[in-house]
Amino acid sequence: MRLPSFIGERYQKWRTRNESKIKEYGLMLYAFRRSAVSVAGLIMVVVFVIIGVLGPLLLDGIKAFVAFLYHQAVVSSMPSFNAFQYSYDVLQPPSWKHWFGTDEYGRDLFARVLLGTQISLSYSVVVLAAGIPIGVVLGLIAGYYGGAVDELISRVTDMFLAFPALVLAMALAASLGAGLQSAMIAMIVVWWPGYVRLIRGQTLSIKENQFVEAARAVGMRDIKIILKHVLPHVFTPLIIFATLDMAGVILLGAGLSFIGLGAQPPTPELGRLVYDGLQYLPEKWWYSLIPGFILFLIALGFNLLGDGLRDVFDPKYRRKLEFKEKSGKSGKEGGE
Amino acid sequence: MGDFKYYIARRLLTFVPTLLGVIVITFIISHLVPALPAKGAFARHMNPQTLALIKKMYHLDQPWYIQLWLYICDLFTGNWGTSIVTSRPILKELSIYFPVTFQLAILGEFFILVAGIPLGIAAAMRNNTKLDQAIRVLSVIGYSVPYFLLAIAFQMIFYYWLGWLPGFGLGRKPRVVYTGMYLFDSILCGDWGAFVDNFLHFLLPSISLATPGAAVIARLMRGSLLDTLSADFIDYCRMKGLPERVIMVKHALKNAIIPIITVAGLQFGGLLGGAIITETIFAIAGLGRYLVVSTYAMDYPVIMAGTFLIGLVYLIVNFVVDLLYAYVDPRVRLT
Repeated sequence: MRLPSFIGERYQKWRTRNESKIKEYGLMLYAFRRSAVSVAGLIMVVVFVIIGVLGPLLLDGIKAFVAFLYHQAVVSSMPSFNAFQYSYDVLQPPSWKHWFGTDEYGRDLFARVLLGTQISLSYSVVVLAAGIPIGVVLGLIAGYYGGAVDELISRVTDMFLAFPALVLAMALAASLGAGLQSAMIAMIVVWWPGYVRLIRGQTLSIKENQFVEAARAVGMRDIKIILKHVLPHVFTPLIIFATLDMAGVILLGAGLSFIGLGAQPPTPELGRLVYDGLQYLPEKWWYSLIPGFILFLIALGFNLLGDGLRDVFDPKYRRKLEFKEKSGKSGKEGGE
Repeated sequence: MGDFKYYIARRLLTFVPTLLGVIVITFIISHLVPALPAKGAFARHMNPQTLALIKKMYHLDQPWYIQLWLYICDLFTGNWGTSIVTSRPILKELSIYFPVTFQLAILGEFFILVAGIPLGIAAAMRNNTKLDQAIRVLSVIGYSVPYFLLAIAFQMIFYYWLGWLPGFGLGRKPRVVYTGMYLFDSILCGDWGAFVDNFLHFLLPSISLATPGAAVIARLMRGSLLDTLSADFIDYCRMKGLPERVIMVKHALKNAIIPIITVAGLQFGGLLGGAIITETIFAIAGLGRYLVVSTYAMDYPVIMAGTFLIGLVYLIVNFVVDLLYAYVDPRVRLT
C-alpha cells in the first residue's frame, strides 16, 4: 500500500527541512546502541517500568500463565502467590512453590517483592514529579534574576542541603507520622533543593549567551525569554539528572522504609522486607537478600541508563563518534 | 596569609545564617508539625488539666516566635530535652552514642579516599582501556548498591561463612576512655590490643558504608584528572621535557585533586546518614541505631535532637573542608 502522494511529498519536505536534526538524533541512537551497558540499563528500566505500571495485574498474569502450564501438565504443581494471607509455610527457602521463599507468616515473598517494587517505583515517580517543577521554577528565577531574589532562594536551598538527605527525611517522616504519604512528603522536601542548584547553575551560564541578550534587546518580556530561550537549554541536564535521581529516590525511600517510616504493614515495601528479614539472618538469607538485590537492580538500571544518556546528550562525545565513524568508513572505502 | 583570614571571616558570615536555618528547620519539624503528644493523637485520652500542663511544659501555649527563641536558648544552654522512652537527658545519651558514629564516619571517609582516589587515577591513566571500562562499570555498581544490601552481604560472607572478621557490636573498651571514640582512645593510651580489636570490629561496617562514596569519588577523580591532563600547561610540561612521572605527580595530580576535597566533605553527610542503616545491621551502639530505635518507639525529642546534631556536625565538617579548600587553592580565597 502506498501513501497518498501529498503525504509523501510533505514528508520529503519535512525531511529536507529537518535533515540535520534527524541526522543528530540518528547519531544519538547510534551512540546509545554502541554501549552495551546503557542498553542493558534501558532493558532493566523497561522491565521495572512494566512491573511498576502493571503491579498486581502482572502478578495475576503470571498466575494465569502458570495455571495454564499446570493445566497443560507442563508443571506438576502450582506455586502459591499469596502476598497477604498467612499460611503454614513459614520461612521456607526458595522453591517452585515459593519462588523467592516465604516470610515469618508464610506469605509468598515473590508476590510481596513484586508488589513492593511497584510501590517503590510509584513513590519515586511522585517525588520527582513534585520535586522537579518546584526546583526548576525556583532555579530559573534565582538564576535569571539574580540579586536579592537569588540570594534568598539560594540561602533557603542551602538550609535544606545542610542536612544529609536520609536524616532530614527521617526526621520529617517521623514527625508527620509513619506512613507512605508522610514518607513521600518528606522525600519531596529533601529532593527539590538539588534541582534548584542544578537549574540555577545552568541558567547562570545560559544567561551569558548572546541570544538571551538579543532577545532582551528586541524587547522580549522576561517570562518569555525564560520559557523560550532558557528553559529548553536546561532540559538535557534535567533529563539526565532525573534518570539518575530515580535511583537515588528509590534508595532513599528504601532507607526510610528500612527504619519503619514507609508504607505500614501489611503493605509490602522492599526496604521494610529487608529490615524484617534481618533477624532471621544468616539461615533465612532469602528474606533480606532477595528484596535488597531487587532494589539494587532497580537502582543499577536507572543509573546505567542515566549514564548512557549523559554520553548521548554530550555534543562533544557525538562529534568524536561521528569523526571516528567517518574516518573508519573512508578507511574501508580506501581499502576496496 | 592575610587573604586567608579574610576568607575565614567571609565563610563564617555564611556559616551563621545556615546554622540558623538548620535550627529553624528542626524547629519547624519538631514544633509546628503535629508531633508532640499534646498535639497528636494522645490528646484525646488526656484530661484538660494534664493537657494544659503538658502544653505549658513544652511552651506550646506561647506564640511560635517565642517558642523558637526558647528553642534556640535551650539548644545553646545544653538543655536538649529528655527522652520519652528512657527519661534521661538526651544530650547525655547523645554524648555516649555520637562518638561511635563519628568514628565510623571518619573511618568511612578514610576508606572512601583510600579506595576512590587510586581507582580514579588508575582509570584516568589507562583511559579507554579495559581497566578504565571495568572501573567505570564497578563504580556504577558501587553507587547503586543500597547501604543495607552491602552490609548484609559483607556480614554473611566475612562473618557467618568465612569467620574472618567480627560481625557485630563494638570492640573491647580501651583502658582509658577520653572521647568515647575507642579507636582514638586506644591510640592515646597506647592500648594496642583494644585498637586492633576495635579496628576489626569497624572494618566491615565502615567499608560497606564507604563503598557508594568511593565509587563516586573514583568517578570524579577520573574526570578531574582527564580534564587536567588535557590542559595546556601539561602540554607545556611535556614540551619542557619533564618525565611523565613528574608531570603526573607534581603537576596533574596536584591540580586534579582539589575539586575532590569539596565532594569528600559532602560525602561525610552521606556517611552520617548511612550510619543509621549500617549501625542497625551491625548492631553498633551509635547515634544511627539510637535514632532507629527511637523512631520505632516514636521517641520524637530524641529524633529531633539527633537530627539537629547531625546537621550541626555536617555543617562544621563542610566549614572545615571549605577552609581546607581555600588553603590549598589560593584562587578560591581571592575571588
